[in-house]
Parts: sequence; structure tokens; C-alpha cells
Amino acid sequence: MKNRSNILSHSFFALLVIAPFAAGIIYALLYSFGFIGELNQEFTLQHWKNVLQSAEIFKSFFFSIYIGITSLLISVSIAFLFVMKRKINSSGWMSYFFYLPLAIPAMVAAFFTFQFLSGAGFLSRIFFQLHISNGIDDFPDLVNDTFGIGIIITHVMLALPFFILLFRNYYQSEKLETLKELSLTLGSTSSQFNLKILIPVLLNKTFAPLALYFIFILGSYEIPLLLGQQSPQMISVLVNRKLSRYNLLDIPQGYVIAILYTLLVMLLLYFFIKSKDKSHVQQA
Amino acid sequence: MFSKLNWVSRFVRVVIFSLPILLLLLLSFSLQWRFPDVLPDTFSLGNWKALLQNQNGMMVSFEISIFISIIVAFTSTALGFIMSRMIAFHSKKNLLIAFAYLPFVLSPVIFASVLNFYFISADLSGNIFGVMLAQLFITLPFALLLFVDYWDLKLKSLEDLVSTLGGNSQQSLFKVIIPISKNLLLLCFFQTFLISWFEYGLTSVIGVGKIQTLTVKVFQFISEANPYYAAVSSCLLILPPLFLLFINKKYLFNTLK
Amino acid sequence: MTWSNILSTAKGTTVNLMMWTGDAFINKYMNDFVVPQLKSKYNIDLKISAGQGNQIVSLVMNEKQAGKQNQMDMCWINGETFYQLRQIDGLYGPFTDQLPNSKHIDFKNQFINTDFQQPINGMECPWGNVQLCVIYDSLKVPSPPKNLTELAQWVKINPEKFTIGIDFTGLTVLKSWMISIAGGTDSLKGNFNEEKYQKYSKQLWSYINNTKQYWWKEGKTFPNAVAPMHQMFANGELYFTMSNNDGDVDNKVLQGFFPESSRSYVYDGGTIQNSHYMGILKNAENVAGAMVVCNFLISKEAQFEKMKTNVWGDGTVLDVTTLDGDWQQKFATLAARKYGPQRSQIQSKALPEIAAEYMIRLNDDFRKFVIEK
Repeated sequence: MKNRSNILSHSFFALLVIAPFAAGIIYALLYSFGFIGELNQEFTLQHWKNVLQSAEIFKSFFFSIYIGITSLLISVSIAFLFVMKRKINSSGWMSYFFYLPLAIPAMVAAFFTFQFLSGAGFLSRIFFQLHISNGIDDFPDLVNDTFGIGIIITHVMLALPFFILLFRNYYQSEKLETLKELSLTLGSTSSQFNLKILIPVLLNKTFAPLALYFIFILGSYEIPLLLGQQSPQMISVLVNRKLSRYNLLDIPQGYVIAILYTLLVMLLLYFFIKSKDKSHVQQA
Repeated sequence: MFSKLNWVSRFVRVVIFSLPILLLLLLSFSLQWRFPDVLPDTFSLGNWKALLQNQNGMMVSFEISIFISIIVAFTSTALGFIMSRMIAFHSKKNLLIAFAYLPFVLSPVIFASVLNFYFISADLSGNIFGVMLAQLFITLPFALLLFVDYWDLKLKSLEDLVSTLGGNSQQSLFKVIIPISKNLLLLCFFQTFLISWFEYGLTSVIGVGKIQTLTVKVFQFISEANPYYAAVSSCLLILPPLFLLFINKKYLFNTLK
Repeated sequence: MTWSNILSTAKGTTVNLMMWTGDAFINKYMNDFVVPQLKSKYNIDLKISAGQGNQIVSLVMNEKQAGKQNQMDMCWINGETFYQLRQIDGLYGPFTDQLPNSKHIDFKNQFINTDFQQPINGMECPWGNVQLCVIYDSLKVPSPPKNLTELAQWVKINPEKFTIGIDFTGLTVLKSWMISIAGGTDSLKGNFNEEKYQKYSKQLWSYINNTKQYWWKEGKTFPNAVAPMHQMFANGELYFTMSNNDGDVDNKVLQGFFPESSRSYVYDGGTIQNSHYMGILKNAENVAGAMVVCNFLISKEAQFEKMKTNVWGDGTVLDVTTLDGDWQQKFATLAARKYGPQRSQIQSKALPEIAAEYMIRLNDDFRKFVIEK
């Protein structure tokens, strides 16, 4: 009985977890080298050359990383402020409102940002009525803008409650409150405590979820699709455009970029898991 | 005085955190809302009526989404629980955990694109089973990662105890292990439900636009620049998570231990 | 198969149609008129999936590669998709001769019988005929620019108020401009010509690059579809929007979407007139059903309903003179437009579509030489 369920577990793991990913990568590889595909004829390196020679792909990678780092930095910083000021009660009706953004999917969040921050959006209307701005053109570009402000704001909005709650949990489980009282009694200031103990401890403890969230932002699709610029585009948007544009010869390039992106993320994951192991060791 | 200020600051925070939902509600009740009006000219139930009368098939989408998400959540929780036991006591535990992260490497829309061919070959493209299977590819690893640290020696010794006392493994699973793991199982069920409920990339590609879940609908309304219907369908999309939040907010947020 | 055989085979079946669903009113016409009519008249369930040309093409390519039947039976296509589907041999046909209602189609019209310089040869069924129009707000723009020179001057005085999309409509604008630059109607006729393309596209890009700093968002980005452009126009963020359908402005004003001061016009150098079609996929499961749907879509009732400005305002592909007197009358009363130009006024400025490769190249190069610059 035990044995049978163990075999089943193994085969399900192979079938439902490893196989899809492996099959997908194999398909993308074969397609990118011209082995398969309706318009592909024979083995070719041309698609790889085209991609590696174009500036577009590197811009796209940098832009994605920039969005990921900026969104993460901003939301983590704000979350720290919340935790330092202890502005969150874990119970009571107020806490429900902190959870609200967790109930919003990415696409709806992007839609909201557009309705709220675009030139003709809600905020622009309020500014106009208050005579702060003279109309649509006077309102700053916050969506479809060069710096990806709309994308970053949306990611921060979605990530913030997650990080606040995450930090708060560790704040409690690591007994940082007691530590703080102790260090204050011993004569250190509140900001010294925050800088020397609170932030390093929390960062160390939450490294894995933060790293995973970074990867999540890196690969996001709906938010940059609705709020991004035509160029540079974030990776997922770029790949999807290559896979479904007028030029059918672009399709293999889409797969090349998908593979490059997979390699990058796997590399990142490798380092994350490694450092996570290390922190486990330190704990032990 | 102090408490008054406190209330004001609370109110401000409540408004900020609920702003998205307030704006969506406002949009869903308006027919014409042009710049520079801060509020719509007229409030109307028209968009909601259209929804309830199933114009544009919004109600059908709601039902399909609920159906898909319940099945996906149940399957991935059940499979994930049992399979995670195997991983937890496996000699190559860390390697298996690393594998379970792989499906999250690619964003769902790209993952779907590289899998599309196989789904078509297996006649799983454009039907509901295909969409559910595709979603399982990300919800199952999620469940595995959630459960894997749960299996520890304490739990194992409990199993051993049951078998020493003459119980078989089925009894130990259903009579002992599942009851004491109820909360975690519920957490996993609701979390995988939400992943499935919010899923767009896999669903739209593998479903070939035929399986119109709510997210597919929302996207369609956004792309035809119909903000009012988009708002109504967004509200529908937010409703179940809000409901979950109301019954127990713990289910929405995995503390990641 | 005779038509009555086709009808009885199609009865009680489901037909899967993939189409662009980026316009709320077109969707409404399909969902509220076409779908129920097909159900009551032929007991056919029409299921509509959202998807544009390229999605159709890549779906068909994947299915072909997997050796499977098409999941979609039919699709709404334009010239470039027609070209690509022919390229991969994905279309069923010829079939239009078998449709009883096709006898009323205006097949003599070159804007209908030729799609992007390719004769349709019965491989796709004409569904609507439209001409690109530029829509503007007459209160804000009393005299809109009539050619590229005037446009360049206008945007300089009114920065941030003009742009084009990077979708099908935007590409149709680019093609219209390139034809003007190349010297008018027949200058790019025939097969794709690399030399001509290089020469005229270069002029086109330099024109755009020289003026785009006065465009919406300083020409750093462009709307990705016509729907958001329409929305920005309605909100006053843009003073111009464009539509591939010359009846669109009446439609959108009547629906209260555009202000009543909206008007539309075509450039002096002309704009592209084209038709859009229904194609049946080669390995469709339900060819008979798809044919019945096509036949219904080109019926006078369906074409009439579609042409009503408060429904869609899409031009008919029928040769109205072949219909009964009653129906001729009915169509005649429809034609009057309040906000857009009459078709007769712009017909002389109608440019035929150029070869599909021009559009594919313009799409790539617009990105390369304008967006990424």
C-alpha cells in the first residue's frame, strides 16, 4: 500500500511537475533551431543570431530587471516603515482593509491603475477640479510612460500588503518587540535598533519569499501589457508579441527569448536556493 | 483629541486600501463618465442588469470559473498533500523541491505558448479539461511547496503509532493525518483556488478563447475599451476572494511559516 | 453536396468562429442578432472566440504540425491573414459559389474581389466593405489637415493631440500615407517590390520621425489598438482617432460614445478601402455549418442590420441593385450619414489595398525605425 502510493507519487511528480516544463523547453529549443515549425525548413542558427544581435532583447531584459528591483525596493521600504511604526493591528476590523489588495488579480489591478492614473483618469479629474492641473495634457504621464511608473505603482500596490503581513509575522515570531525593549533599555535609540537589528533580521528571514516575488514581477505579463510602453517591453510581453505578430518569421525568435529568459531565472533561482540552504545551515 | 486624529488617520488608510474597489464599483454603476467629471453623470444598474441577464455571457463565465477553480484547487490540494509526503522523506529532497520551482520560472503566458503544441496533439486544447490540466501544472507545485515542510518526524511517528496499533495506512491517513492537518489543507485549497481563479495566461492560450473564464472576459472588455463592463466583471472576479477574506482572512494569506 | 444537403448536415451543430472582438458594438451585433438568428433559423449554435489574425494563423500552424483538425471552423479575416493562411495552405475552398446568397455579392467590385492584391477566388467570403476614415472633433479642429504637409504643421501648433495606433488600423493609415508619398493610387500596385518599399518607407519614417515629437506622448509610444484611441478621443485626450470603417463615427456618436461634434473625413491623397471576409479553415470539423453561417452573414437581412449606423455601420458587400425593389429602398434609406462623409463622396479617394508583404514589413519597420529610435 505504502509502496504503491509512493510509486504513484513519483510518477505524478514526473508527469505533472517535471514533464511539462521539460517538454516546453524542448519544444522551444527545437523551434528556435528550426527543427520544427510550419515555416522552418532545416537546422539554423539564424534565429539565435538575430536575437543576440538586436538591442531590443537586452533593453527588454534591463527594463524588466529595473521594474523588478524598483518595485521590490519601494514596497519593501514602505513595508518596513509600517512595521517600524507598528501601524498594523493584526486583529480588528481595520486589518481587513490591509488584506483587500490581496483579493485583486493583476489584470484588475492594472485596469484600476489605468482608470485612476491615466491622463483622463480619476486623479487627473480631481486635480483639474481643484485647479492643480489645466487638463489632460497638464497631468503627468503615469501610465504607458517611459519609466514604467504605472507598472511599478501597480506592482507596489499588489506587493505591499503581502510584505507588510510577511514582516509583521516575523516581527512577532522572532520576538523583535522584546528585543527592541531590551535594546532601548540598554541605551540604543529606536533608529539604531531599526537599522542594526530590525531590518537585517527581517531581510534575512524573508529572503526567499522576496526573491520569489522578484521573479514573479520579472515575468509579469498583464500589468506591463496594459500599462507599459511599446518599447522597451517587459520580457513576457516581448515574447508574446514575437509569437503572435504579423511576421510569422518572428515566431522562432520568440522562443529564443523565452529560452534565454528561462536560463536567467534558473540562474537566479539557483543562487536563491543556495543561499536559502546556507541560511538553513546557519540556523541549525 | 488624540483619538479623533487617530480616527482620521484610520479613515484615510481605509480609503487608500479600498480605493481600487471603490473606483471599480463606481465605474460599474455608471454609463457615461467623461473627463473632467469626478463622478458619473448618472448612476445606473444597467451594467449589473446586463450581467444578471447574462448578456455577453458574463454569468456563464462566472460559473465556468467557479467550476474550474474548485476542481483545480481540490485536485492540487489532494495530490499535493500525498505527493509532498514522498518528497519530504526523499533522499533527494532538495533536488525535488528545486524541480517544483521550475514551473514558476516561465510566466504563465509563455509557459502556455511552449506547451500549446502538446495540448493540441493530445486534443486538450480549447476544452475545459485542458485548461484545468494546464492550471494544475502551476497549482500542484505550489501545493507541494506549501506542504513539503509540514511533514516532519512528529507526523511520521504518529503514522508509525497508528500502524503499531494495527491500523493500515489508509486509516492512518483518513482518521489521523487528515483531521489534524485540516487547517493547512484548507489554506492550500483556498490558495490554489485563488491561483486558478486569477489565472489568465494559461487559460487564454490553452483555452483558445473558447473557455471564457472571468479573467478572459475582463481582458476582452478592457481591450474593447468598455470600462463599465470591465468594471462589472472585475467586481465579480474580486467577489469570491473578498468572501474568503470575510470568512477567514488567514486563508488569503499564507504566512509562509 | 447540394445546398439542401449542407443545410440538413449543419442543423443542430455548433460552429466555432474566431474573430477580433475589440469593438463593443460589433460584439453586440454578433451576440444579439447573429447568434439568436442562426439558432432560430438553422438551429446552429455559433460560438465566438476572441482572436486576431495572427492568433488564428499560429493556432492553425500548431494544429497542422500536430496533424489535428482545426478547433475553429471559421474566422474573420483581413488581407494579411488571408495571405498567411494561403501561405500555410490553411483555408478551405473555393466555396463562395455554393452559397445561395452569394449571387447578390458585388463580385465585379475590385475592392471586394481582390484582397491585398490577391484575387479571392472563392477562398473567402466577403462580409463587409469599408474605407479608412480619420475622425476628429469639429469644435476643437475646425479645419482638419488634408495632407501630410498640413498635418505636420497642425501637430506643431497642437502638440500631444495626434497619434496612430500600431494595430491593423494604424497600419492601414501608414499604407495610405506611403501610397500618397509614392505618388497615388496605382503607384504600389501589384506584387511586393523591395526597391519601391525601401525608397518610400524611408521617406515615410523620416516624415514620422521629424514630426513625432509633437504627437501624443511625444511619439515615444503609440496606442496598441483602436479601442483605447477611441476612448482617448472621447475623453478629449486626443483630437483625432481613426477607424477602418467609414460608418464608425455615426455609430459611435449615436451610441453616445463620441461627442456630437465628431466628424470624419479622408485625406486628399486618399485612404485605403478594403473588404473584410469570412474564411473557413481547411480541416474544420464543421464545414457545412460554417457555410450556412457565411450564407446567413451575406443575406440581405444580416447585411442590412449590420449596416444600420446604430448597430455597426459596416458597409455592405452586396450589389444592392440586384435585390428586390423593397430591399433596394431599405438599403437606400440606410446610406444617409449624419456625421461621416457619404460613401459616394469618398469613393473617388479610395485606394486599393497593396500587397500583404508591405503591411508585414511596415509593421516590423515601424518598430525598428520609429518606436525603437
